[in-house]
Amino acid sequence: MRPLDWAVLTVSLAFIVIYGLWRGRGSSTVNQYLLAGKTMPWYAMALSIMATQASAITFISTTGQSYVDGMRFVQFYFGLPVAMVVIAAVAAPIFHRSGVYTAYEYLERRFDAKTRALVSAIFLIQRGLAVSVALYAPAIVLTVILGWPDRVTTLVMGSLVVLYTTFGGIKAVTWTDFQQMLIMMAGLFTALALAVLRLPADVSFADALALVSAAGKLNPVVTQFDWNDRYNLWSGLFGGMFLALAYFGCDQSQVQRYLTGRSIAQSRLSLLFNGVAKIPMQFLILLTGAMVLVFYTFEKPPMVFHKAEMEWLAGGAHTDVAARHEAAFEKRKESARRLIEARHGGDAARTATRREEFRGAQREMESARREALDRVAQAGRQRKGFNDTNHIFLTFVLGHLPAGVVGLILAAIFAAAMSTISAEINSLATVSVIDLYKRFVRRDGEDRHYLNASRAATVFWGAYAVMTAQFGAGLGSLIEAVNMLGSLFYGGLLGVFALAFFFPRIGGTAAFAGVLAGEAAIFAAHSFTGIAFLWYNVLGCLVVILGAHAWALTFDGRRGTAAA
Amino acid sequence: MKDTPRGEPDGEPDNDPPPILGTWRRAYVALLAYLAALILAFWLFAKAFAA
Repeated sequence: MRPLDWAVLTVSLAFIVIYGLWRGRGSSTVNQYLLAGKTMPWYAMALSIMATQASAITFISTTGQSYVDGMRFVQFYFGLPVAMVVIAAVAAPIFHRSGVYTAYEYLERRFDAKTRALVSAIFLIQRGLAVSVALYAPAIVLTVILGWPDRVTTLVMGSLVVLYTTFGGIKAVTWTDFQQMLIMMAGLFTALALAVLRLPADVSFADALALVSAAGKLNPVVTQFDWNDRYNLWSGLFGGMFLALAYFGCDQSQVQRYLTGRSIAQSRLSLLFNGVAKIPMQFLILLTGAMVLVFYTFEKPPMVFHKAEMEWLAGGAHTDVAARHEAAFEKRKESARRLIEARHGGDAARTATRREEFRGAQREMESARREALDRVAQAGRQRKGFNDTNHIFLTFVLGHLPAGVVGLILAAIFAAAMSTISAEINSLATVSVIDLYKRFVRRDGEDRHYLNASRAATVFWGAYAVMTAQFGAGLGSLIEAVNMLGSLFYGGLLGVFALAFFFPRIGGTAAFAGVLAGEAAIFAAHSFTGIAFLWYNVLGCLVVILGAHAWALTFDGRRGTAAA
Repeated sequence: MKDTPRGEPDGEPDNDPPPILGTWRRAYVALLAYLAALILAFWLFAKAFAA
């Protein structure tokens, strides 16, 4: 980090906090604090929705995932536009007209208090775990750069977010999300452009894409179906759609964004904009990771991208794997040159042969890296199956990008982290106060009392996030950890909202029983089968619907009514 | 034709049409068509560099 980088990073962070405090002023009622008085325009909500979903994990881990696994992860988002249509058409108008603060408040109107309490508790557990991961991710950044302990970085990050979120409520959160999303886009385009510009002069962008393809990483559409495969067209369209339906339609951290809209039309527009922009944005992030792979085809990469573990490998008796890695790198580089020459020569048969050579060299390279990673794990320094996916992009940024740009990209990563964390603690505080405290503890307080309770709950959840973020190191690839965590609970949430919207004869007790059955099915599938986690949402949702109907037929039917 | 989902009263101030395409139904169809075009474009993009 050079002085210019520090200047860019510091100014960006200071601006975010000051801007949030300024934008959040005047939030003096619960309605203003939690729903911005329903005054938000569609573009602010749209970017807030995108910024909330795009966490630091998106930058740090998705680029690394592209480097390791290719671009197929983009398929994860294929179901999102379909979900946006369903939510815009069905959920947004219902939530708006019911005048609720939270999605779970609506469940009491539709079912009963126990269903609302159960679903609120599921949300608090699930989102409470996720906020820790969202806070831990940027801590990796400062740990790598400065060697600060995780505790210091999470404390600094958490404090900044809590400051403007507590003071300004959702207005501060939404408008800082808006500004943070712009910083993120600037960082993303800069990183992609520089990754391409840093390639050797005789390697064109088309050559680079041909190398990515030959390495087996240019795979944005995989049409083969496999239940155990996380990312293919079908799991993305169907599993991804269910996950997006649950996340945007039932998760308060997202529902609260579009509840602030000044009209249903404004909320719908924000959702549809997300459906348009999300996939191209993820594609560009993955393309950046793919270009980093090409960059490291010509510039020798570290054997392991985790700095401390690389130093340990270099200092120990591991010259054999280092030599193997070196030989594999040289062979891959030479194969890449030959493939590019063949492409330029226009000989299809020769190009095909060179592609196979390059793919073989890529496999050798990956095998050498895997051996090095396994040695780290075998030495007991990391858990079994250790990977360095989350360190790849940062190693590239810090080692090869110019002064100022490093600061901008780090600012983008911090902006991404802060936008997610602020939305999460804001929604956790909202559910804690509206769905639990106001509903079950003190029902007749003054507006001022609940405003103060909301502020106190924001501080509580911020402190909780900082404390629990210490466990992030054991979670492997962070983006997958967060998505898998969500999938354990989202099926149940989605199922109960599907019952609420589409099955008017199902009553509260049946819905409650259905949610319990759905969650039991998901945890059983997770424990005893190898089904890819994206399918948990589908499974959970279906079991909730079937379970609730079975309960209604068995018990409610005897009383001559479907309602419990 | 005004796109009015079932149960949504006409003339409600929050029931404005989208700024383009006239009705929400058309906007939804346009988004789904865009998704199909995007997937096709990705497939063609990958295919173009696979040889």
